[in-house]
Amino acid sequence: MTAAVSTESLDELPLSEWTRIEVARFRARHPEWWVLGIALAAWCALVAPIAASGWHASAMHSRMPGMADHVASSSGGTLHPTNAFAAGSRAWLLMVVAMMLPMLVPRARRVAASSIGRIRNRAIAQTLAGELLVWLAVGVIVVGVIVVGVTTMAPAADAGRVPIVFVAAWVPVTVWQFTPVKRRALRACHFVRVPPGLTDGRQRVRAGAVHAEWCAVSCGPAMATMALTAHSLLLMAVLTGGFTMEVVAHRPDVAARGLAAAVIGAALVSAALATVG
Amino acid sequence: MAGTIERQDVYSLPGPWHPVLRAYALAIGVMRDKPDSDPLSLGYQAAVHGVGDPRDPPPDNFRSQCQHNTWYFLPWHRWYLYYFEQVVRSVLTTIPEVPADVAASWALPYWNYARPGANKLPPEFAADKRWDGKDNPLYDSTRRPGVNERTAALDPRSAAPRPGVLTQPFSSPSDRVSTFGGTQSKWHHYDEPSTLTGGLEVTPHNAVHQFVLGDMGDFSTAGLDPVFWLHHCNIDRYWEVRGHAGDPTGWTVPFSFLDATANEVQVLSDGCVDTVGQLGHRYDDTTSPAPATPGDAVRARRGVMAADVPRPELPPEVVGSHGLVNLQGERIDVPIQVGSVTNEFRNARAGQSEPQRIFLTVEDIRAETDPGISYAVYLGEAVDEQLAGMISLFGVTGTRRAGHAVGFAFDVTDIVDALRDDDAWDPNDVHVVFEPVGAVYDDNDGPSLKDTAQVEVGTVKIVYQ
Repeated sequence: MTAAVSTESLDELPLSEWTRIEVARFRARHPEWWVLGIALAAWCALVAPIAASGWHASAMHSRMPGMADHVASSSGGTLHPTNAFAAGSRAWLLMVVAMMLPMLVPRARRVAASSIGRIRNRAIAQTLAGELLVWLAVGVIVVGVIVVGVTTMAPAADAGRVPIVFVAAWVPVTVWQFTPVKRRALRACHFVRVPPGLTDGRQRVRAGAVHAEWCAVSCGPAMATMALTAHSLLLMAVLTGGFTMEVVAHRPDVAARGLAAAVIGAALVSAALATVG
Repeated sequence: MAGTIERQDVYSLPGPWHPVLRAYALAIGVMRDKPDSDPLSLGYQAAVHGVGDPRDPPPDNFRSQCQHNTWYFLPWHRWYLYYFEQVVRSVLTTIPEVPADVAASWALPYWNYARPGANKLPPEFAADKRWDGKDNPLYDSTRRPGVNERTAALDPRSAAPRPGVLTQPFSSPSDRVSTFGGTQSKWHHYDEPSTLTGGLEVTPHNAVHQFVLGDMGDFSTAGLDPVFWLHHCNIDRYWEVRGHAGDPTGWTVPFSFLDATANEVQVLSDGCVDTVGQLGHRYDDTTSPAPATPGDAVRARRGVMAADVPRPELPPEVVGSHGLVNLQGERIDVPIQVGSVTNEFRNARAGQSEPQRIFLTVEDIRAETDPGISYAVYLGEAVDEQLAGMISLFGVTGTRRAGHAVGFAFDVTDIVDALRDDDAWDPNDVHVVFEPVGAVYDDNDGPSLKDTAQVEVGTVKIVYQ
């Protein structure tokens, strides 16, 4: 067996060689790096419209256009259901990628560690594909509801922007965090097996989908509420961080209760800032 | 520290019924009679070692707290023994038959099953009657047939840590490398997916639980068997045999126990490293065990994981894998193709593709019931010097409660090196052989190993680091 390459010997290398080695070491230690990169790109895409319109107080502190706004604006003011559905689906996918991928990082690391090295990235991608397929299916329902809602109840679509209605919409999500169904889904989320290094991609996709089914039960109410109301970056960030904590915490039920408090707090802050902004 | 007590090998205590064992029997008798709700009862002390359902939190801060398949295995059990010993000494002061000096200096003995002639149950635990003809509290009728009769013995390969285990790193964040004490984790009851059992916990800890079986065969009841405490005392002793160079510094989880006055104490793992200075006891013998077999001696001479060899820093990479393997009491030969490492592996090591260490991992192991036997795992042929390690599946039934599976890793670097030296290493034709191993019976009169409970192995892997 060979000896390790010492730090001292690395310092003697040309910069290009040193960089190549350090990049390889980073990728070896963090095989999930590109998953976080995609999540970061999704966040940038979500924040970009706010930045493009100027960081004036209300946009910066408070609201992003709600999903209904995407749907309503997809045809320049004239609502076309098919275009509206497509626009809404894109927005939903962007939101899922931004919020769900960070919480899938631990799972991606386990998949990477247990897979044969040369198929590691493929294994991660297959697992995440299974997860996203389920969330896309959820999105079909949520976006469908929005399209129908905007089509049939256009004035009501703006109700989500009214601060008191906005806060009230998050109360059921807060209550959901304390329910036995949420606890059951969280436990199942923790215990769904990572395929033990199998080389069959279909099995990895299926395992990702099974895991995502429980995640959808656990996180779905919050994601749906985010889509159906006018929501804020603050809430989105709180939920992303809170979902991730639920996944990594030793006591996920305790993390869920903490998230409940954080959600209602963030909703109140967002509503208050929207009122004064 | 004043009044340091000495824990002794039970087989070195002149018998039968040395005063230490006589006192222990009397104390166990009193503790058995107390209600399970009493922290001084044997039932309560045993309940501390439970696991319960990993989907539910423990009933309180004291029961169902045991730590297995984790780097907390050794420190948690060390504290567990410490407070049990205090409870026993406290009980002894209430028993008139026990001399005051014995009660004050009583220390838990240990069962060194690697000692020649000591791989059968100590006689004082096997007899159903004690010295005065009364029922013996140290006797447990649930043990494996042959154990109480002393016709069954522990297989020598399972009686001591495997070659190299005592010099391996204590722990690792990776769940693909073998360690002495187990993978780094949080508080652990099969609720984290990525932990490997430490080498000491696999052999001899799991093996002895599985050998004695009965109450010893389950987390929740193991402490009801009085020999459990001597067994864990020996396991704890191996931490002293190894020494404390390289002990972890990242233990952060506190544990709670009830002391002999039923008061809560909260402890940290680094508070029990110095047995003399911090806990007030020492072991009479901390010499390393002799190799159990000629093959073990060969591996020891080769230097499996020598203590002075720098440890690899970079994460390991899986280079070969075989899927589902079902073990059911018969030899199984598992072929694995070992591929080449990735460019990332090479580049991270400045162009070197040869690994520093090679591991054989047996992962994602599940079973509905403990098979009651172990499996010897060989790399290549099933010959002594190619014995990678022993799989003993105590605790595997925890996986049926929807918890995560168990897994083991064995350092096989020296075996691969030897095979290469003999031109016998073909990456395209690697074999891993599983051989069932049961208790050793006098006159080979033991039960058949076939038709034991099925054990499902998720994958077998070759890992380079």
